[in-house]
Amino acid sequence: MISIKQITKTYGCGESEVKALNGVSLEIAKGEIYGVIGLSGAGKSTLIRTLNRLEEIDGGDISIDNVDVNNLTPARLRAQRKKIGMIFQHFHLLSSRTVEGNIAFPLEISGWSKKDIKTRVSRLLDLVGLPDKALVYPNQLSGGQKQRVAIARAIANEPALLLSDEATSALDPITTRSILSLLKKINRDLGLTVVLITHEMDVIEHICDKVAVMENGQVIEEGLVVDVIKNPQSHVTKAFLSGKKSEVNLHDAS
Amino acid sequence: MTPLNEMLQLLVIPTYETLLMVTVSSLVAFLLGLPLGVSLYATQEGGVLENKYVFRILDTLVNMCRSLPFIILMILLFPLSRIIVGTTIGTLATIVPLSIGASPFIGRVVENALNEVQGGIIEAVQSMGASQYEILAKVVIPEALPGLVSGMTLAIINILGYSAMAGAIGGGGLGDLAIRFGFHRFQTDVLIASVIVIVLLVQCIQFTGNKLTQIIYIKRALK
Repeated sequence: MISIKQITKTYGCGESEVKALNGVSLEIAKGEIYGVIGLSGAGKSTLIRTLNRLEEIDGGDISIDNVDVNNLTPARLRAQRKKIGMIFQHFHLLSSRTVEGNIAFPLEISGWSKKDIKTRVSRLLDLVGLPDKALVYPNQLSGGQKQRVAIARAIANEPALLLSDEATSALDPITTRSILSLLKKINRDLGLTVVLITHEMDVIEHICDKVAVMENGQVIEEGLVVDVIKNPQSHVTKAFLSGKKSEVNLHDAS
Repeated sequence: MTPLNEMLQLLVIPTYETLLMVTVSSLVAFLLGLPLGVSLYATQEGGVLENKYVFRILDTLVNMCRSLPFIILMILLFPLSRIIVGTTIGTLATIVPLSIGASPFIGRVVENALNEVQGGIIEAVQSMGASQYEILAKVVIPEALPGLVSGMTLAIINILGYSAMAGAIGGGGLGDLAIRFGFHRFQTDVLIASVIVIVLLVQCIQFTGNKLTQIIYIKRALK
């Protein structure tokens, strides 16, 4: 479904030049939950943002469902973005609109009728488990509830692809689990492809089918999650896995 | 001393004139200032309609207009007042320079209020495929509403102050009353009474503005 070939992205120039993406290639199949893990500054955030062109690339090719993402007119790009949902670490809900209004936004800009929006929004609220929060403003919600609204908003237009940019990084472990379960459910029930980035191995283990490990703008390890966990190759992957273990040990000790 | 009932009679018409000038000028200035502020916001570096030439021209123009003392602007705009209203003196004639004089200020107020909207929110709606127009009209302006209301309160009080100043060169209203009776005819009590009415008007405007901002905050659970 997604084919990323040798993409590069450089910030700044001269001595302050940073290669955020240095020849990244990935193939992501339809219906997969694909995780990208790495430390801060590894380039994973830049990578996910190139998929809907919140970030422009300097070189390489990206195609999603055979559409060349980097060769679109502004109008075609907007149409393309309507088919890709995205959720963020800090939710980015509109404080000027109720929960209902937030979820309605992508439908409004896609020209849905008021009546259809109403039905669709209430179905989405049921799906994310917030049927009684339609008329509440986002600031009255907890972090986990806000992310549920953001997920409902992201999938409102029935996209084929959902991008998750550190969506659980601002949440506590229990809320993280519930959000991950929701993503898994959506992936299973709606056949949605999910690309997520994270710095938590837990997230990868919990819901991802495949994983890519990034360091210094490059993918240094890639494969099925079960294989990578059983037989990690790179020092970064090993560090992520052992970091997780020591965390677990800490929990056991206390 | 002027007897009380005479004083009240003296104040009624100028108060009405001041209210008329301030209301109409604020409305017109807002209609001119809002697109100006939105353009400044949208064309700035990193804006949704980034255009450094348009931004630089608007930015310089606003600064130039704002550096002119209001009295001078009013004199410069006499010909325009004559074209639009047919005269250069009185309440209606003053509305022209008041509106034009306040619009660059409102432009800045709008620009500042819009800049308070988080970049992440704009990115999120961009990721949904919103057009530039949709981002500005359906997201940025509604999100900035509390800031816009408190900024407009500031601007309306400014316009009230300018309108009083306009009394010095033939504008109507309370400023005119204060100058004619209080200054030229040494009736200090009329001057003080005019000032008291102006102070009361400022209090009312500020109170209403604060109340409106507060209502929006409470509704959105922001505070």
